[in-house]
Amino acid sequence: MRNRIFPLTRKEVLHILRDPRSLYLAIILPIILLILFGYAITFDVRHIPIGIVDEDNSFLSRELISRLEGSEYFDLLYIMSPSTEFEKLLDEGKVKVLLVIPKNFSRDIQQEKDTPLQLLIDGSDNNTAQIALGYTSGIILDFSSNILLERLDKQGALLKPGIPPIDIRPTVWYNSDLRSENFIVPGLIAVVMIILAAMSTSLTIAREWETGTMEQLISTPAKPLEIIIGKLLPYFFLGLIQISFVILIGTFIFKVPLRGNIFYLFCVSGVFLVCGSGIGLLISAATRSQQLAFMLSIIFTLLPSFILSGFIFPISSMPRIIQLFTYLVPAKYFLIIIRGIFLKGNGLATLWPETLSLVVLALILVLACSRRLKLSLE
Amino acid sequence: MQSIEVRNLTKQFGEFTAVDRISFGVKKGEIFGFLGPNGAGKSTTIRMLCGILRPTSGSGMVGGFSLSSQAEETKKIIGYMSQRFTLYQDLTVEENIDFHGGIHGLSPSEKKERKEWVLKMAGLKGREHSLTRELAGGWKQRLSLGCAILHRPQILFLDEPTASVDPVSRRDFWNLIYHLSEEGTTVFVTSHYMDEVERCHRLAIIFLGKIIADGSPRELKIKLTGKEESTLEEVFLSAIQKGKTGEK
Repeated sequence: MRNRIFPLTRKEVLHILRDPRSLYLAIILPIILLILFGYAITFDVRHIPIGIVDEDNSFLSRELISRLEGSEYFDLLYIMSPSTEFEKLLDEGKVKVLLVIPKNFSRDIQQEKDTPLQLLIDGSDNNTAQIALGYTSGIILDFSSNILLERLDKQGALLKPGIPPIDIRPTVWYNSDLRSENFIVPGLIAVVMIILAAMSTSLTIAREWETGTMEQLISTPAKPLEIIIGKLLPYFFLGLIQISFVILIGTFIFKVPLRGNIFYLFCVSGVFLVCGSGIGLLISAATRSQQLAFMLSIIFTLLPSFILSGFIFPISSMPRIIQLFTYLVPAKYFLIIIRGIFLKGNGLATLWPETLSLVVLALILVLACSRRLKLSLE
Repeated sequence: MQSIEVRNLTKQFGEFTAVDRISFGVKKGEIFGFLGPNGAGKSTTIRMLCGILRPTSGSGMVGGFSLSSQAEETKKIIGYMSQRFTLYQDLTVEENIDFHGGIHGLSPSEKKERKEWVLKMAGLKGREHSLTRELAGGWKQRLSLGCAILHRPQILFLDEPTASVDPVSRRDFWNLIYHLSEEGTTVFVTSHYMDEVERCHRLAIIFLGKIIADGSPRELKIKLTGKEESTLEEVFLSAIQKGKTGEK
């Protein structure tokens, strides 16, 4: 049998080259998206605006304030006298955390009484609120245990001063500085790649239906699978160029360590690209409208890759039924693989279940495209 | 020898019957005209014969292959020129020819020879590298035809081939069709230009999905109007009049 895939691929390459604007876009867009989102999305909570009402104004209260002020997590914006309507600051969103040090704070501590401290937190962004609460509690707890130790010391207790009974010595593996870029950037690479792959192929079959060239193509002996593969190949290579750029940006601009095998990374990325292009082609074959296909391809890749892939929200905390859906999301597998290769230096020996799942998904998608195209000829 | 033979061919789109139990045969090397007003079922019939649409019922043989079970084989020996212009407008003349040559599996030497032939036939020598979208109507038309017959099909299907072409181009076009027919190519052509179908060896008039008359242009004139010197337009109108009363 003569090879009909080559002329189909050649034609598709010509379409891409004839439209240089979309070609430039294909190269520039992933770079812009990665840089833009890479800097924008961060889970680190720093520089939380805090206000403090110091009703005590004593040595101890100032000591506590200076501890909060010295932390990089907080920006101390206001120190107020008790007479001001300090709640307004929280209402107006000028501070996220408001600490009220009551009168007699210092006296109560010295008299070894129960010493209350009021902490008001803006809970409208619950994630930030939780983290802010953790930071504030940590600092205050530390302050409190110091006082306790001093007290014991004064009483001549047996404990050596300054040494708490349990000493945690944490070691964080794979991302020792807990930089959120190391977590975010590989995930973003996955999301950006699948959206672009689906977007660019979503137009191709629909365009042939709209211009009528599909009718001509169907009258030739070309088989649906040949048409699908012929269309897939050029976008596959374009995708590999895109991924080279985003990997370079990830390692050199965001300084994400690439510890695993780069050849393996490219191979799996290729399979992932076939999944993305497959989704685009399937939508294109089903809708036969460029506009609709374009919109649907973004919806079907962007949202699942962000929400159902484990990129932002851990899959383990989703309800069981939703977890089942995540098995259909290619980004779920690719995220585990790309984070494994980048941060842990994993290879196929560890990542084979995810790699196999991705290959199976890619094959299913290509066959579904071919089947969908066949059905629509009849 | 029959090139095309159909029996009770029917196509329904939901409730609507676009083609209603038509039967006819076309001999090898014959130019067969399919005449009818817009919406009569001409394009639907041609699409079924090309294997683009699957018939709802009925049977047919095209070039010795069954329409229902051997559509893939049929596609190798036919050429199809759709009513719409279906070449790639963002590709050059030469790239379109190469694409069609490639997809029909021509050998490199055949491809080269046929490309030369098409460029000469279409008068596009020297314009190989022009983008197809920049060509004028007549040239586009001949390039479409060239691509449809690049692989020397045994049977050529033309769906309203001269709809947007000036009279001179149309005459050239028909000269070429005659030439192909003399070489043994069967030509199945739909049209609603009377002067055009006059040149066909045989005609069928289709109306509301049914064939209401068929025969040579001369036979039809005698059968439907009783006079050999009447125009085909009169034949057509009288056939449709009879078709309408037949409906009631």
